[in-house]
Amino acid sequence: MELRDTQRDGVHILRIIGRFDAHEAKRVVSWFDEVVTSPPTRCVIALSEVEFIDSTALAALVQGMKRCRQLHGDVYLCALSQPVRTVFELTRLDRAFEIFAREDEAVTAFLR
Amino acid sequence: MAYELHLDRLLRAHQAELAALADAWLEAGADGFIVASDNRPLMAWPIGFSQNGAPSIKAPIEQRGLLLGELRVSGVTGTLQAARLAADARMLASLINLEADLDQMAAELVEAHDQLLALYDLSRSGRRTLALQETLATLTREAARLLHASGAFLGISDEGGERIIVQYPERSLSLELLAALLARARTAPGEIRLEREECTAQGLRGLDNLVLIPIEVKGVHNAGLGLYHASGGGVFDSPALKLARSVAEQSGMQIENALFHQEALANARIEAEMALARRVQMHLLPQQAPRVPGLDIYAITNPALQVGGDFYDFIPPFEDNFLFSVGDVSGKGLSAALLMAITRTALRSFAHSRPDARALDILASVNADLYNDFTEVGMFATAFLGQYIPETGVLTYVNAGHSPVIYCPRGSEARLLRADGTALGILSVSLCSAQTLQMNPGDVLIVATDGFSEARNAAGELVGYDRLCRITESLAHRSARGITDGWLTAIQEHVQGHPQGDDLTLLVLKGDEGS
Repeated sequence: MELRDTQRDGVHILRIIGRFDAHEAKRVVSWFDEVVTSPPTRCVIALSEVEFIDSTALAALVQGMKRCRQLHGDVYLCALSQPVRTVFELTRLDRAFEIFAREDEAVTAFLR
Repeated sequence: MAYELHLDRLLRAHQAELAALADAWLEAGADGFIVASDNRPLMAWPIGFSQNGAPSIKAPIEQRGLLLGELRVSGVTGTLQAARLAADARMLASLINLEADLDQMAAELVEAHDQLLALYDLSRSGRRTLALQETLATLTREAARLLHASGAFLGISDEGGERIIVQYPERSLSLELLAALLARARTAPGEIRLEREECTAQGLRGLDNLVLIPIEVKGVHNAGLGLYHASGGGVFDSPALKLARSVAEQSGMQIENALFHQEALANARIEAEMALARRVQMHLLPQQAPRVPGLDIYAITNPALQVGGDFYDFIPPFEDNFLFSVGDVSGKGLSAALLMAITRTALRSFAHSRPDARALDILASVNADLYNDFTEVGMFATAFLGQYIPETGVLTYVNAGHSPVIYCPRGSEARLLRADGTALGILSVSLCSAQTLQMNPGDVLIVATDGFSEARNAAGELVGYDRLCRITESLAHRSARGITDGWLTAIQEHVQGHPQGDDLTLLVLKGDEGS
């Protein structure tokens, strides 16, 4: 799995590429540890290039989302690949996260 | 050893040969033949010959540019005689050289022999124990004894920074000072040697000298052997240092053995505890399917590791209000198993305390109760809670993020029942709603965990939800147990032996068709 992070207008953006599973989830938790420091913490996670996601990886995203919300921020997801979308729909995590079709839409939503 | 001493010893050892040499000169007309050193005659021929005045010829006995002595002959002269005497002197010098080499080799042989004996002693004493603390104590005591040191200490620190320091005699030196020295040794390029003043400056009063040798354990310099002499106790000369290095190397090997033994013991203990945890967890699961009017029931679970985060449960009473649950805690292993036990118990306790409660209320309450705990550990649990009323054949269920759940009415296509709420622990308020199904004879409901849908073959191809639906349709005519076996076989055929990383749990309910 590859992680690419950038920042735009105070929004932390993380692009996850490859298989996002129990072996790799710790790296995303560490990334949240680094960026979720002072309120408001606003993060966008781009999942267009994630070919597989398991429950530990989902838990990492949920953990990050909860921490951001505690600090008056949030985690928005964007560009879900088909396998990821299926998992989100089946587990109804699409009801827990704000999900956008494109990365710039997610960032803009934070800036509104 | 001074060459003069060699010369002296050579004269004594080879007196007969020198006498023959002297006789040859005397026969050739010489009055006297003298071997002198430092202008002092060491031996003279004929016996009692005393040289008066300067010798007729003389030749230096030189060794590597060093003047060892002189051969003197009186009564003969001439170039030929001078050359002969010079040749005799060179022969003597060569003999001295050979004697010195022989001495050196003999000394090295004795030293090597002593070291081998010492190391044999050390390894023999080390073999008596494999416990780390005891090994360190034995090595420290033996090192002090073999090196004739006043005391010794051995320190080792692991990757986690935990440190063990053992010294002999016990409590001789401050552990803090030893710890500081050992920390220095870990980064020092070689051994550390301290003389009296430096020992005092380091706070190690009363020591004449100290040597600390880093020891490589598991490829890292994370241990050290220290040896010291108290006042008047002696010094570590070159052979002693050589032996100390050998002792340190041998100690490193014995420490490694003790560490491997310790790790093996720790692993065996963990394995025993995990086996116990597995037994406990398996005991938490129903030992057999309940008899519920109108339903044929079968369930299995198979953790990927010793213990897992999946669970299923049948909550009594079964006759008129049959409650059952299937859940999957995110992650695997012990942490998931602990949360699995909590979730399963919370569902069961709430159902027992409120016998009239609806499945929706139970799940919402459990979510509220466990939300903070799940948040604390960054995990969640999907859960499917079903409530079947035998009298009506109506099954009401609440699905908190759980999949796959497959419903296959008799003679119809199987379909996936999607969750409508998030898993437990994700949101503080449950978004689930209750759904109902009519369980007629031959209808099949399968509640499985994602270990099935995410099982993949060597090419990475997942079993997937569609395939599970088709498998279910093909097996729907079988009993609940037959369907379970068929699912397991189909999954095995798909993965073709490719190792799976997730827990597998499967609960099959089938509308009883009678016998």
